[in-house]
Amino acid sequence: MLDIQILPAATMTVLKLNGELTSSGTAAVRAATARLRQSGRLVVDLGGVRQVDRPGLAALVALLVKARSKTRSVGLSCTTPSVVDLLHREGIDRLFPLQPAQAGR
Amino acid sequence: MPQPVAAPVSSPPAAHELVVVANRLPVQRTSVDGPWETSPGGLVRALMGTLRQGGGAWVGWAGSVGEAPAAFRHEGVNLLPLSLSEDEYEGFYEGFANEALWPLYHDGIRPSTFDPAWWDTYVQVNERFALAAALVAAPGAIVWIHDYQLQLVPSLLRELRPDVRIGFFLHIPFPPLELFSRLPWREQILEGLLGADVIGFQRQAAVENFATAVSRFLDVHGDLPWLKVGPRKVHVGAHPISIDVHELDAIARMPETVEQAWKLRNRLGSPKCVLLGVDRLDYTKGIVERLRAFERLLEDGRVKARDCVMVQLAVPTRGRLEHYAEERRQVEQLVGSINGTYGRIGYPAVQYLHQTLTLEELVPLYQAADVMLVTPLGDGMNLVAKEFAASRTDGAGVLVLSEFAGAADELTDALLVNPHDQEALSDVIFDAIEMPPEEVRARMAAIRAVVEASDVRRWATGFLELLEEGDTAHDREDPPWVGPSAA
Repeated sequence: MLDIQILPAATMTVLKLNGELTSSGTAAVRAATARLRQSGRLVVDLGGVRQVDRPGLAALVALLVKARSKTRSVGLSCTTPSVVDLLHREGIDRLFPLQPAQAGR
Repeated sequence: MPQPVAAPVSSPPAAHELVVVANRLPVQRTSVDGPWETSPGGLVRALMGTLRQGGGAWVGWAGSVGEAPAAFRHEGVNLLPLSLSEDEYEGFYEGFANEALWPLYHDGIRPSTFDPAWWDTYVQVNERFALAAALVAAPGAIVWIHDYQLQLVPSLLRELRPDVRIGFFLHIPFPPLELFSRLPWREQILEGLLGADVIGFQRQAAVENFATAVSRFLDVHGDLPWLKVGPRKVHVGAHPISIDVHELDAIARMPETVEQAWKLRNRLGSPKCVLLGVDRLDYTKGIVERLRAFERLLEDGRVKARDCVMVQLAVPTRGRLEHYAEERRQVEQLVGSINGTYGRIGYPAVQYLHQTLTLEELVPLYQAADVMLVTPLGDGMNLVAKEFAASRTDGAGVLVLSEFAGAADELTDALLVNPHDQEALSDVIFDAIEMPPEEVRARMAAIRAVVEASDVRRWATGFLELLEEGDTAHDREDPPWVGPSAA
């Protein structure tokens, strides 16, 4: 199960993903991708993602590709060690560097 | 509810109109902290030139296991290094690519090992390359994927980015059906390749082998050069690769190159004839068979060691794999045996080098040779044959060329030979040594004309133009299922 919240903030939009970024969640990611609008900054926050599989990763790639064309800047945020490791192993964090999460500020 | 992350975000990575995806990046360095240098080879230079013009990117492995370096620019090209762990290197590269696919695709010269764990790693690494390409490609970009290590990337990339145009070029042979059928994952490999819009092979025989395989295993048909894959059409054709002719020519005409060639002949004892072999130390190259053919000529007295010296350069490669270690043992044992029997003090019959030479060191060797022996048991193209011809600005030199090298389709004025036939190989080497000078020059002129007309830049441009044209290729025959309105 994947829950996606779009949190507009003053200087940026945050797309917050919670749950499992797996094949069962790809439709939700696709829907969120379709809703992306022209904006200044976007952060895709994966802090609430517990598990990622290949279809989930593919959906994330599609989201990032679309975000790149729609926004001035885009970043990823994540603190879950297994997801951070995956993003690192697949080289995704080299293209979309992970931003330090600063929840609660 | 957690608050939005307030971290600063970076600019989106640049999207590139042209992306090359290959197992290796086009750079290398001698130490971990050393400077990156462009890898040698005409293909790298040709692709780098094309990418530089279009602000393109190259995705590949940086050459050392473990952590990958950050993305960087080199000579105006954006390079994205991908990581391979030690386990991935063993399973993907050494294992599946070089112990399963390489021997299978080279006529089954050695038995392949089909390990399901290696296959899983091959899939996993191909997914990594596809993801990276998907992330750096601009909308509608052209992505050109290279070689047998990445045969799944075309379809994986198509899933991720249906908007991009995908080309694939296989640098090694594609095997006939009887051999390809052995591969436990044959359907997956074929499906992987058919994700491309344009698939290129070195020889027409490979095109036909591929078409036969997809017809048999995937029920995919068409009228070559087109194959119908669902609603798409895939162009499949032969695009024989070449060398950087201008670079070779420039080196060959340098006075110091010519002088070095003369010095080399003197150091060899100024023999009447110099035979030369230049190969990676790979069991597909037929080095053992070639040495045996030379030994046979010495044995039967048609050739005397004092008159004729063989120089064999064997470039180190894949030394951790047993097939390669065994090949090296055989080659070195044979060289020792021939020299022990036929050499003289200070004058071995075979001068053997197990090292890597630069192009500037190779060209004088090419010029010092009377006969170039390019006799692989199987080879996608073999660029040594073309380098030799391009280096012979003096119009001399005889090329003995295996029928099993892709170059044999084009260089028909070489002395073509079946290297599996020991007697024929000895005979053709002898014919080359004895060839009248007028015939030598006539044959070399014809070979050089072919090589000069097929520069690697033209090859790269031609492939990319075909990829850009796509379905609108007006000068090529449309597939029969395309009606007038669609055409």
